[in-house]
Amino acid sequence: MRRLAGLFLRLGLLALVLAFLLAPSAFRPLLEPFAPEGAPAIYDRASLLSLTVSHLLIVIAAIVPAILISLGLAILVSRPVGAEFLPLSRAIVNIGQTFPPVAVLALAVPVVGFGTWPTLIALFLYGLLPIFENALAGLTGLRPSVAEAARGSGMTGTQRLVQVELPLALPVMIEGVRISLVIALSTATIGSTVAAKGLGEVIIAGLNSSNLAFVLQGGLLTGALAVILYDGLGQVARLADRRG
Amino acid sequence: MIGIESLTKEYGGKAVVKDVSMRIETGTITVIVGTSGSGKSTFLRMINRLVEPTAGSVEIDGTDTRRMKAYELRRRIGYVIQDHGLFPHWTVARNVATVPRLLGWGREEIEARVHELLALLQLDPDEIAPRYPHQLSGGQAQRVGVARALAARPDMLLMDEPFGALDPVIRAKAQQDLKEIQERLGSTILLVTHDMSEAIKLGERIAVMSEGRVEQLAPPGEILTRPASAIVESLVGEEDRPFRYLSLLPIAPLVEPGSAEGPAIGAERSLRDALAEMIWSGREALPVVDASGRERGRVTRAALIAAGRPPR
Repeated sequence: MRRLAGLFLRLGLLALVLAFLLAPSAFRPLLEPFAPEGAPAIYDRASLLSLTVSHLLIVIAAIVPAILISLGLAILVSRPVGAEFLPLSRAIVNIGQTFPPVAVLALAVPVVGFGTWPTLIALFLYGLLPIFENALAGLTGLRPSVAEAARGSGMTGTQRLVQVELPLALPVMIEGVRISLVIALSTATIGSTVAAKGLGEVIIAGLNSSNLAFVLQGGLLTGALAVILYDGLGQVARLADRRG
Repeated sequence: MIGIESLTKEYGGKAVVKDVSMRIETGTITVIVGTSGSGKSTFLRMINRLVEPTAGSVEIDGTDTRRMKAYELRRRIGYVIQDHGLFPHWTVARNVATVPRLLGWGREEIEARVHELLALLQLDPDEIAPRYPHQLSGGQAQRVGVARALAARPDMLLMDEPFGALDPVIRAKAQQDLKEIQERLGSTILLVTHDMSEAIKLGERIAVMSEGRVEQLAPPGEILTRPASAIVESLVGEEDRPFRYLSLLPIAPLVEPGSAEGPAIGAERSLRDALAEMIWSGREALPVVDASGRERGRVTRAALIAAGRPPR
């Protein structure tokens, strides 16, 4: 019963977001009270759908390489050969978190220019740490008796990694991706200050022209996307953990 | 035959296992008994090279184990540990199939073997095979662990406190089952325990380890009657010694002609069982029957108590 209610809630939210993106004018009466006299209630300088798609694409383009690199590093430093690189790897991925995203954006602009690139760099650096730390925790947190059994039954190092360590670490790894993804999704709105195409554009336009309706639709869309992705990945993690 | 020659392990210059040599005949159970920190687990783990020896060698049927790849050696040696170490993301069937799959057996061969082993360990294959480890009781998980170790018909079985996590009733049953399986399959087993009763119950030979050395390596009767050192004597436990000794002796040799009152006892049972029965039923003598249920004579309390005082 509760699972059914959860399913309806999820589908409902998804349907609402899709409806708003495909037919924003249908929601005008709801947003009109927040817009100043004579100003448009629905953002009209670009389609909300295309802004959302490009927002999501930037996030994915930053997080996929962050996953590959963090996972590779975590696997490397959890092997005996790579153990001495652990402190160095930690330091590298921590740098990404110490710089505020706005600072990374500001510093990247002179190097790569305005547009999508500075945002990609900031999101990528920000995404590294949670994925790396979670993957590392998953890979090294194996129950000692299971690790011992894997070695004792004659698995090679690669077989242990592929057949035992990665599948058992998967739920924790997905959790790391989940955190990074949500952070990236919200941080990407700041990217609009350096002219990346995304939902931040709507919020900034609203702030510049004191149009609360713009701020609301940009903010709510970003929030709803974050909730949907966070919840979806949570479901995936639960599925991966079903047998654990 | 397993030949172990001067096996030594040092950690940072401190020897944990010191110069241990022994031969283990094919088809026998040898039990290593010792307190924690006696080096018994390290010794066991050097045989499948989970720990690399500092010095000394292990030969299996004449082949030096150092000449094999460690993972190939381990596929030839079954390994059972206390906390069973079943892979939580795999079903029972997949767990049991671990080593056969590593060795590249065919699908049907593996399925048949899994079925055969689960049946051997008194687990209903249809019911248990598709389950995940967290759906098993402690006793079932332990038996699946043994089935997994036996799957690829290993040259020998290493067992590190295999019954340590079980409650006493299930443990007694698991010990009995292991003994029966060993007799049936003719397996060579090296088992580590801290429990002297378990060692006496299971071992054809017992090696008592203390501070990295083997204090005595002998059949259980000899360990009880002629302990080689004070350490062995203390492990045997002075107050329990006569009862442990009686538990090793069968009734058959003490049977004398004559009759006695009350229910009979089987001639293959131990003198300890007979004594317990006498005390509990208040009898001086018990009728003895053989395996086919035929009356063979009786055993008296005097004969039994005399037998419990070993020759010195």
